[in-house]
Amino acid sequence: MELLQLILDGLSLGAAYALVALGFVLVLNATGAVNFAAGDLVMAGGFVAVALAQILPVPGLLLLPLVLLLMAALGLLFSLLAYFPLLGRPPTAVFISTIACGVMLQNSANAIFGAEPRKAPALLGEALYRLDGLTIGRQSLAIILVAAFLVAAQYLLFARTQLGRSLRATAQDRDIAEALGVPTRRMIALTFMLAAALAGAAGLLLANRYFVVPTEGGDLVVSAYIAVVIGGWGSLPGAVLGALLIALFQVVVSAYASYTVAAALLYGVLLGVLFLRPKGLFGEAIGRRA
Amino acid sequence: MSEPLLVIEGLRVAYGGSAALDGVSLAVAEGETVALLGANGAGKSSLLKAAMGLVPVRAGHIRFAGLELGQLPAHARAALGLGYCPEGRRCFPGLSVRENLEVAARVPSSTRRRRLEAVFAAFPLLAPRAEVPAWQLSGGQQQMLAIARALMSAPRLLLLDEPSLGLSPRLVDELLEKVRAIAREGTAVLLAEQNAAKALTLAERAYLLAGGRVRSHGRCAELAASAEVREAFLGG
Amino acid sequence: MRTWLAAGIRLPLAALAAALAAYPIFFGNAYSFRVLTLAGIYALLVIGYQFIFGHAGALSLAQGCFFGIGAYVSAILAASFGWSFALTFPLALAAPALLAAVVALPVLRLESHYLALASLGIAQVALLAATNWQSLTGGANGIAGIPGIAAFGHSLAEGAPLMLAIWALVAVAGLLAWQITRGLYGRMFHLMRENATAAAALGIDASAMRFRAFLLSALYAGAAGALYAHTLGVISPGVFEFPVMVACLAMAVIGGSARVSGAILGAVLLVHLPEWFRVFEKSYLIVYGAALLAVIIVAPWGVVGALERGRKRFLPEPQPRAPAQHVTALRAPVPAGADAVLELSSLGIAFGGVVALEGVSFVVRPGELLGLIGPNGSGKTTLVNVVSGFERPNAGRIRFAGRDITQLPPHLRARLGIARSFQSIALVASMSALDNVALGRASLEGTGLVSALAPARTDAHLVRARAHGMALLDALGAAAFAEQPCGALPHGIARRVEIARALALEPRLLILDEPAAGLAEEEAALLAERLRALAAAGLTLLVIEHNMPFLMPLAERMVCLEDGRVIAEGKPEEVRLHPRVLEAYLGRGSSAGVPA
Repeated sequence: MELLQLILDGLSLGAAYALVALGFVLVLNATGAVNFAAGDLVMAGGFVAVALAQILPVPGLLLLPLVLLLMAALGLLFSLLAYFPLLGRPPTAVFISTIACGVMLQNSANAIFGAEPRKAPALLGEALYRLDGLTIGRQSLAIILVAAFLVAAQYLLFARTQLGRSLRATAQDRDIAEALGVPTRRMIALTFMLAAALAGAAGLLLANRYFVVPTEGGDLVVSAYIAVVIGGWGSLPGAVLGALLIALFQVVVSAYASYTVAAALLYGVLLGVLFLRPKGLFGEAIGRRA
Repeated sequence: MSEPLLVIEGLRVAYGGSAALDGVSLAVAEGETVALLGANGAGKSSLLKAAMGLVPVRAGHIRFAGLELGQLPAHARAALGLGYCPEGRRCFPGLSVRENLEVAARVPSSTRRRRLEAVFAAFPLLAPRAEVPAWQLSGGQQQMLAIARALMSAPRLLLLDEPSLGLSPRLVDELLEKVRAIAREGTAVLLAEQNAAKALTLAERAYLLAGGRVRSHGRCAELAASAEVREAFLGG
Repeated sequence: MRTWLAAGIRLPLAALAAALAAYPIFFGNAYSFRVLTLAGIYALLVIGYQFIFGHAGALSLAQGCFFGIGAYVSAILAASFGWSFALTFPLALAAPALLAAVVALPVLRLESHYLALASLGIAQVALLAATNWQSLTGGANGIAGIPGIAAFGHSLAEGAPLMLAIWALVAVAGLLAWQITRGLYGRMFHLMRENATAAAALGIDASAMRFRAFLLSALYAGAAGALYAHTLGVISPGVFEFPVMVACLAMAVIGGSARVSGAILGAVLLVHLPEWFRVFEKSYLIVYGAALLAVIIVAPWGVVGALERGRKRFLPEPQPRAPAQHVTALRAPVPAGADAVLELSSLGIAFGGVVALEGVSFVVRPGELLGLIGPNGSGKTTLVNVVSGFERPNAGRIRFAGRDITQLPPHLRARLGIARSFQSIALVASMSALDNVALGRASLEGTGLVSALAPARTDAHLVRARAHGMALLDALGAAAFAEQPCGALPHGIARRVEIARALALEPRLLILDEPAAGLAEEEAALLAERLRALAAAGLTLLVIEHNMPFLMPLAERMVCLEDGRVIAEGKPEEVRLHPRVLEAYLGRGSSAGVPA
C-alpha cells in the first residue's frame, strides 16, 4: 500500500516533469539547440502564478489560462533575445545565450520575490481523500489530470492540424519547409511560446506542493534533460515516458533512502544510459534521414 | 510582348570566397519546360536555390511574374507560385506521406483535400502508402513524393533539382513521364538534370552551365546535336 | 623585441601587467588587494576552462564543480586533519582530475550538449553531497578556520604578498597554457573543434585530445579552488552552486575563449563588475547575464578577439615565412609481397531504406591512378567514406596495404597512410594556408601534450611542419598564398591547399573526392597537371570524379558505379564506351550516336 502511495506521488510529480521535458524537446527539435533555461522558465511560471494569486484570489485552475498566456509572451521575448539574434551560429552559442537568459530570469525573480520559497494556490483546493489507507490529495489528482490534458492537447495540435504539421516540418527540415511555403521563423517563435507555456504550466503545478524558489531551475533542467536522454533524444513520447520514470524513481528511492541517494543514483543511471545506449532506452523516434 | 514568367539577369552567388554562379542570365516562359544541364558543381542547384530564396544573392536580379523577388523570403516566393523539389528528395522523414503533401498546401482545407486527391490520382504509387512515414519509402518513392509535394501548392513554375538522382533507368523513365504530364497541364518547369539525353528530349529549350556560367543555350534539338554538350559530359 | 610586442595583444597585456604591479603601490588597501586576489584565482580557473571550452570547443559545465572539489578537498584536509598546504594542494588538483577522468569516459565521445548537461549533473550531485554529508563537510554551514597559505615554514601574509604570489602563479599557469597551445598542438585543437571529420582524416584523435583538455581544465580548477579556500578561510556549499560556473563561463566568453589574456581580462573585469554596479546589490548577476548575452550576440570572439582584430587592421602581424625544406617523401605504397594498395571485397551499406553500396569489389594497385566515376547519387562519396572509415559497411571487407582495416576508426586509417580530400573543402577558414597544410603533419610529428611543453621560443613541431608545408604548397603551385587565411582563397587554390594538406600525411594512397568540382576549365587543367606529376612520382591515387573530360586523360584505369554497384571497370576508353556507362550518363538509347 505504501508503494502504491509512492507511485501516485511519483506520477503526479512526473506529470509536471513531463511538461518541462516536452517543452525542452519541442525547442530542441525545432532549433537543434538545447534550452538551458527550460528549468528557469518553470520557475518563472511558478512566480507568475504566485503574483497572479495575489491579485486574483481564485483556485489555480482558473489561473492556468492566464499563466499559459503570460508565459507564451515570455517565450516569445525569450526567442527574440536568445535565439533569433544567433541564427546561423553554432549550437553552443545558443546554449550559452539560454544560460545567460536563465541567469537573468533567476536573478530577476530573486530581486522581485526574494529568495524565500513561495507557494502558489492549489488547482482545486487541497482536500485529501482516504481510500483503503491510501491518501489521495486532490492536488495530486488535479496535477495528473491537467498535465494529461495539456499533453493530449499538444499531441492533437501536432498530429491533427495544419499548424502542427507545419511546426513538425519546420523542425525536421527548415529550408525545405520554408521553400514549401511554411513561414518557418514564425513557427520557431511559436515553438518557443509553446515550450514556455508548457514550462509555465509545470511551474504552476509544482509551486503548490513543492513551493517555488528562484534557484530551482538547475535541478529541473537536469531532470528534464535526463528524461529526454532516457526517452531518446528528440522523441516526444519518449520525453513524457522518461519524465514519468525518473519522477517515480526519485520519489520511491527518496522514500526508502534519501533524496541525495536518489539524485546520485539517477545521475549514475544517466551516465550508464549515455555509455551503453546513447540513443536512449526507447531508440529514436525518427528514422535516419535517407 | 509580355515578360517571361521567370527572368534571371546577371546572377551571382558565392559561398565564402568562391563563386558558384557568376553572371548567369536565363528566362522561362509561362508553361515552358526548360532544362538546366551541366556537371556536378556547375552551379545548377545554386541557381534553383537562388530562385527559391534559399541562398543569398550577391548580385543580379530575379523576377517572377513581373515581380522583383529581391530579399523576399522563400515561403513568400512559394506563395507567389514557385514550387520547389530539392536535390536529394528531402522528404520530411517523420511525417507520413499524406502529411508531407498536406503541409505544402497552404490553402483552405477543402481545396487541400481536392489537391490531395488529384496528386494521389497522378501518383497512384503513393496513395496506398499515405499513412507510412516518409523515411520508410524507397528512394524512387521518396522522389515521387518530393515532386508530388511540390505540386500541392499548384505552382506556376516548378523548380526540379536532379529528380533522376540515384534512380534506376526504369524509374527515371517513369519519373520523367510524370514531369512531362505536369508540363502538359500548363505548369512551367525548370529542370536541373545531369542526365542530358533524357532532359533534352523532355524540354523545349536548355541552358548548359559550366563553372558557374552559361556556356551555351538554345532549343533542345540544336543542343542535342552540338558537340559541346557531348564533350561537356563525356570528354570528347 | 618590437616584433615580439607587436604579436597578438602583448602590448596592451604588458601595459596591464605593469598597471597591476604598480596599483598596490599607489592605491592599495586591504579591500582592493582582496578583490584583485580573487580576480587572480578566477583567472586561474578560467585559463583552465579555456582548454575544454575554448580549445577543445566542448561546453563543459563542470568547471565550477571541479573548483568546489578542489576547495573542499584542501579545506577538509587542512582544517579537519591539519595537513599542510604543501600536501593538500596537490591532492586538490588530483581529486577533480580523477573525477573528470571517470565522467569523461562515457560522455566525451558524444556531442557537446551531452557533456554540458552531464557535467552539470555532477555539479548537482556534488552540491547535494556537500550539503548533506555533514560529518565531513560541515553541511550547509561549510568549513571555517581554514589556515592561510603556508608551505615549508613560510606563510604568505594577506594583502599585497598574497595577491602578488597568486598573480605570479597565474603568470606561470598562463605561460604553461600558452606553451601547450601556441604551436602545432594548439592548431590541432583548432581544427578538431571546427571540423572533427577533417581532423580524423589527418590522423588526429579528437576524443583523446578532448579528454586531455578536460583533465587539464580540472587540474586548473582544483588549484583555483584550493587557493580560494585558503584565501577566504571559510567555504560553504555555495562554491558548488551555479553562479560560480556562470561567472567562469561569462569570464571566458567576455574575455575571449581561446586566449590566456582573455581569461585574465575577463576575470579582472567581471570580478570588479559587482563593485561598479553596487546599485544592483545582490542581483549583479543580472548584469552578468546581460553582459554574457550581449557579448555572445555582438562580439562572440570576446574583448581580446576584438582587440586583436583592431590591432590587425592598424598593425599587420609580421608573419615569419617558413623556408621550403625538402619535398615530402612518399611512403612505399605497399609492404613487399602485397600486390594491392587497397582491396575492396563485396562492400555493402544501406541508409534507412536506401541501398548506397552493394557488392562493390575492386582493387587499387600500387602506383596507379584509378578513376572512380558514376552519376550523382551512385555512391561514390559513400565509398570514399567507407574506405576512410567515416561510415561502417554492413557487409564486405576492406584491406589496405595487406591489412584488414574494416573495423579501424578513421584516424588510425589515416595514420596507416590513407589520405583524402573532401567534396566541399574542409580547411580552417581563419587559419593560414600554410598552417592548414602543416596540420597534415600532426600525426607524423607525434605532436602531443608533453612534447608541446618543450621549452623553446617557438614550437619545433610547428617549424618543421611549416617547412614541409611550404615545400608542398610550392610543389602544388600555391606557395604565393601561404600566408593568406583559407576563407579568402579562390576555390581553385583552396582545392590545391587541401591536396597539399593530404600529401603532408605522406600517404600510401591519396583519395580525392571530386577535386575538379566547381573549377573553371583552366584551373581544372592545371590541377590535372599537378596530379599527373604526383602519379609520375609514384603516388597511388584514387580520384572520384563526375567530370569525365577531366578524368579521362588522367586515369590509367577506371571503375564506374551506378546505384551503388560496379557496372564497368577497365581502361578509360573501354569504360567510356561501355553501353551501360553511356546509358547511365546520357540516358537510354544514346549509345547509337557516339563518335567512335
